[in-house]
Amino acid sequence: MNHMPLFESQNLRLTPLDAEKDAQAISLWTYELDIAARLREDQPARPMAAMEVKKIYERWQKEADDSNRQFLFAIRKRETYHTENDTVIGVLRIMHVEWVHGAAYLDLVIGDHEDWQRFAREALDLALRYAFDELSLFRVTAVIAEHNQQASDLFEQARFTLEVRQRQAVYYNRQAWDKLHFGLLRPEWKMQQLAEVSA
Amino acid sequence: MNAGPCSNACFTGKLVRLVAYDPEKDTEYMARWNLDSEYQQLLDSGPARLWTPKQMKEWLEKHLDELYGFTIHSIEDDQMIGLIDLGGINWVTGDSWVGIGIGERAYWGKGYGTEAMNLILRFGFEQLNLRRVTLNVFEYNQRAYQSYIKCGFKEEGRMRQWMQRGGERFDLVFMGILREEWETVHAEVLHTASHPLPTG
Repeated sequence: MNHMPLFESQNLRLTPLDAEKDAQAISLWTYELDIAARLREDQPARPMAAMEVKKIYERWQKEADDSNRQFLFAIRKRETYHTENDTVIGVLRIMHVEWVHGAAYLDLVIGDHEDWQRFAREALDLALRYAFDELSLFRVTAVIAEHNQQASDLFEQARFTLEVRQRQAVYYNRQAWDKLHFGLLRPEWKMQQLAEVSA
Repeated sequence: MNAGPCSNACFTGKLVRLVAYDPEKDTEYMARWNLDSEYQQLLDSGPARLWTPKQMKEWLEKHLDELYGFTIHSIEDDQMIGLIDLGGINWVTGDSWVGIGIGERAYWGKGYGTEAMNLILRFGFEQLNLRRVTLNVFEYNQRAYQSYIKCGFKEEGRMRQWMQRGGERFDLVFMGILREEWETVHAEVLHTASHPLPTG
C-alpha cells in the first residue's frame, strides 16, 4: 500500500482540536456571522466569547467520542518544527456520518479571508482524502449559504455537483438566500486522483 | 382580515384530525407499526429497529417538548393511524422540517396523509409564522412524493445515491414549500373543505 500522509500537506497540518488553546482565535472569527452560524447550528448566530467556543468544542468532542459519527480537526499553517506552535487558521469537521449509507457532511471553516484564498483548496484536499481513503465513505456533502461566493467557487473547482437548492432557507444581511448542497461521490473523486497522477 | 378563532377546526379536516401526543396511549400503536419493516424503511434512513412501548414512551416524553407534533386520527372510526411533526425549526428564517408516517396500512394511498399534511402546513404558516417548510423523501417512495406534490411542495434537488438499501443506492430527495406557494395552492383547497380558511 502506497502511503500518503493524511495529516499534512505542503503548507498545512491537521491537528487535534485544542479547545483550551484555540478558542480565543476562533472566537474572533465568529464576528463573521456565517462562521458563527456553523458553530452554533441550533440557535440564531451571534459572535461568541472564547469560553462559549470552548464549550461548543467540548460538546462536539463528546459527541465525537460517544457516537463515532463526527471527526474534528484544527487546520494549522506549517510554520515551525513544533506542531503545537503553529497558528490555527481553520477547523475541519466531518459530521453526521451515516455508516450504513457511507454518507457524511463536511464543514470547512477558515477564519481569515486571505488564508481562505491561499489554503482552502489544500485543506479541502486533505479533508477529502480523509473522508474517502480513511473513512471509506461513498459520498460527502457540503452545505453552504448562497451568499458565500468563495465557498461555491471552491466546491465547483473541486468538481462537486450542486445537488440541492433550498430556496430562501438562509437569512443574512437583510435578505433571504438559498441554502446550497454540494455533493461529491467517491468514484468522481477517484477519477480526479487518477487524472492528477497521469497529468 | 377577519380571522376566526383557531380552535379544533384548525386541526380537523374531512378525513382526519390532528391530536396532541399522549405518550401513555400512543406508544402501543407506534411499537406495533414498527414491526412493519417496510413502514420503517419508508419513514427513516436509519437501520430498522425495534423498541418496546415503554422505551418509546421514555423517548417521546424526553423529546415531546422540541416537537410541534401530532398523532393523526381518522375521523370516521376515530382510529389513530399515523404521526406528523414539525421540528428542527429555524426561527430566524422561519424554516421547519416536517415528517409524516401513516402506520396503519389500510389507510395508505387514500388521501389521509395528504390531508394531514395540509392541516399541519396551515398550522405552521398561520400560527407559527413559518416562511417555508422542508422535507426529505426517499427516491423509492413515489407514493409520498406524489402526495407532497399535491400539497404544493416543489422538488429542490436530490443528494445523489445518498442511501443504500438491499445493496442498491437511492437518491435523497429534498422538497420545499414557501408560504406564498402554500397560499396560492390552499386558497382553493381550503375553501372547499368543511372548515374553510377565513378570508377577509
